[in-house]
Amino acid sequence: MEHVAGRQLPGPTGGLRSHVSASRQSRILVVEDDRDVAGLLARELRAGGHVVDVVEFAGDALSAARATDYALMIIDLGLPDGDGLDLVRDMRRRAIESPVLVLTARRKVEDRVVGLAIGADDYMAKPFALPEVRARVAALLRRPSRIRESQPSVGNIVVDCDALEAVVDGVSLPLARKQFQLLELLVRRKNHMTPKRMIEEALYGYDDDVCTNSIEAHVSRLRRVLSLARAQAVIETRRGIGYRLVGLDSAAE
Amino acid sequence: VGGRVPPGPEEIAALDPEGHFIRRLQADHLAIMRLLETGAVVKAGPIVHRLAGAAGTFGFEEVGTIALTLDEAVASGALLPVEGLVRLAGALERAVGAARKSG
Repeated sequence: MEHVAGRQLPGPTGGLRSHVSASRQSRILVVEDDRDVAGLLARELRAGGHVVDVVEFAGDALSAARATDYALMIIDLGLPDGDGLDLVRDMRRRAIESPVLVLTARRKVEDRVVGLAIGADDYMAKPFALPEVRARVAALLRRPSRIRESQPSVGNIVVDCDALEAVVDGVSLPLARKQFQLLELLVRRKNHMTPKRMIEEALYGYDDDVCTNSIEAHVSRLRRVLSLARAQAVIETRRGIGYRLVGLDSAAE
Repeated sequence: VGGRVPPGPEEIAALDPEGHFIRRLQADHLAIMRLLETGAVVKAGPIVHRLAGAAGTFGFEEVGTIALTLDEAVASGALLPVEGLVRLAGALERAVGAARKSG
């Protein structure tokens, strides 16, 4: 099976193979070391209009999940560099909340119970039939994502995701749609570095033309708006990596 | 103006996991026969594990069932039984033959 490289994430081992097949779809991560099974899954999911990334190693899966907000992750339990259950546990500990469908040839009830207990959302036994994959993926994608805060905040900045409005000390900020999306992302990831790639994926679709400095321009505009509103948070830049929103108390530490 | 590169035609090219898997079955059959001849059956563990995870999904149920039983035995600490491996080799031979017939 030939996987064709798309965008690459740095990984300790095999790297990430990405493929884009449609303009509007969910992004799904397949973590499976058997290339034939991975190919079968990827082809099926792509036929359903999804964007699919495939990795073989737990380390690459963690890197991918930290860099991308996946709508779903399908994780095999027996990976070459670790157990899939440990991977799920590690992801949940790092607040990676994408739904997880665990895939395994293990037939013991204990494995299934442990998988669900540590944060997997569903379980599918190998061998599996493709119609079952389709049904389970559709069911998981239909579920509301894990409870997300509807009004995340940093300092005196509050982002109201229902009203699509950001306020500082109760005063609405004049933000264009993409700047609002950027602020929401940074506020949700407060104190964590947000890679530029993740911002691009959050703000733009695959068919969008993205100017090379568009993210910098949005960040610059957002900084100005926050500064004028006397927001108690600043956007830090780490050159070549990304951005981080920190409350002024944290920034002073 | 930069931006992300749209997928090229090679990326859209169809994958052939089924064809690749059948070729793998042939290779696995030969490898297991060789290990049975040399008596190094313990080295068949990774092959058995891979078959346990994939054969049933590709429609080779007999191979998958035998491999899964052997894999679970190994996972619980047992040695790979030679007679089980012989059964697996037979199932692989039949699976490859059937795949050849169906083209």
